[in-house]
Amino acid sequence: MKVSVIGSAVTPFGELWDVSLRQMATEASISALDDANIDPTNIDAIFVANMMGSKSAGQSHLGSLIASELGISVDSTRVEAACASGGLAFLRATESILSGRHKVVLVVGAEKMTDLGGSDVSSALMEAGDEEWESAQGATFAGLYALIARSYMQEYQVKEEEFALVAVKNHYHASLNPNAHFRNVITVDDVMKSSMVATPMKLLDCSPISDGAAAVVLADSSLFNNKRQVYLMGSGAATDTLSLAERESFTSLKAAQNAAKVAYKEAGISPMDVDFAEVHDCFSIAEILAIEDLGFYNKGQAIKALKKKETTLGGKLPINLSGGLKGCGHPVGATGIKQIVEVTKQLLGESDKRQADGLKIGLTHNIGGSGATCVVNIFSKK
Amino acid sequence: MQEEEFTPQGKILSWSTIRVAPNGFEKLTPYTIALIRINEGPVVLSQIVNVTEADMIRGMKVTGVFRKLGLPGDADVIKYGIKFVPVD
Repeated sequence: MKVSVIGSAVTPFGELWDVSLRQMATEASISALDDANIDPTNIDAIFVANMMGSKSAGQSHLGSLIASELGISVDSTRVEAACASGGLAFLRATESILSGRHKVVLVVGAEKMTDLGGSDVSSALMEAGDEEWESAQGATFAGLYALIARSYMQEYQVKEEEFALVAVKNHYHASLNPNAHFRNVITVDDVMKSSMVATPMKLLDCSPISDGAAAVVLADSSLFNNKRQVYLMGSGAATDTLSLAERESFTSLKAAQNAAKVAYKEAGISPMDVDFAEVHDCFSIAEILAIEDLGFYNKGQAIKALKKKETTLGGKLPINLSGGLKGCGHPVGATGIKQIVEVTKQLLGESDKRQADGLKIGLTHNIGGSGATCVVNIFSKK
Repeated sequence: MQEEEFTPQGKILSWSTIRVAPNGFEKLTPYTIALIRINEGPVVLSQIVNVTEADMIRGMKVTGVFRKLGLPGDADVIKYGIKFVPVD
């Protein structure tokens, strides 16, 4: 049995002052169902990805909430793995189909973040780290990734301005994405002039605080032979120590390497076979690590590839055509699902101004915390 | 499970000066956090005090000191812990 994505949709990502958590999640779900040409009454189960519904909206129990909003009363589960909630909810959903328990499943990721002030959202996000060993010391996520960035600079003799290439590329891609949080093109100079958040990470090295939702409808592919669909080839999920200090390496994420290994094995492919990917660029350094951890480039070689524009639209391995987390925005629970929606639309040739050519196999890479969880999913056209 | 005791002496691996703080740490900014390799081997994350960003170098020797960690939260309890200072 193969699982396929038979429908997908996103809401706009950004500072959506007029829209609530439940509204965004419901809108994305209904749009994905319309895209699949499926009525809500034909859904057998729902998986909801969300990290901070209780802090930002006073709302937990999202499984039941989404089912209620859709007017159905099915088996519904909220999945949380910090910023990897989306990728993990998707993986659990595929297993519910492969087990034979369910036939058609909705997966929706949503996050409302902009109702919290700066310090409150920073603290809420730090629940993705180690409370005793990191939060108690005043660490923030920008700080944790900054520690990784400096380690990478020391080990590979990289300069701050070289990380900026990630943000520049992703803003360019986002400028072509009507749903992206940011639509402005930026330069390396803009990044270097932006204020320090946690040295050496500057404001424009960091993905924004965004609201948004994304949804996909999954099914046993044999049930919908004549539909336009994209097939899941393989998946992998892994964890590493929650606390950054306990890792074996500060310049690579073992959880990503391990998750990718499992996914490639299940898909029966190697990194060379991947045509494009959506990776977790929560901070510019994170995209550098991602393309090395996924086996696309050797350690220390990612920046060379960025400089040669290999990972830009038009290059041989476009990364983050959606604009990534930096350009498209990062509503935490929604990101992992948005990545899957982007890969789906690109493989179906429906990505309009940011459509890349010759795509057969796409990969999504979703990270929780500072590399504590990673989920990798691989999709193909056939 | 076995308990191990370590001496709070070590060397700086990496660091970052935080300008945008989480709740309870706003009055401390800017402050520097670092990954420190304790002499016995493990790495810990802690704040480095009595030093400016410009003075930080990889391999710098530091020693632990007992300090207040941030401001009291909702429970009105003052948290204490270890921070690190450079060894001359």
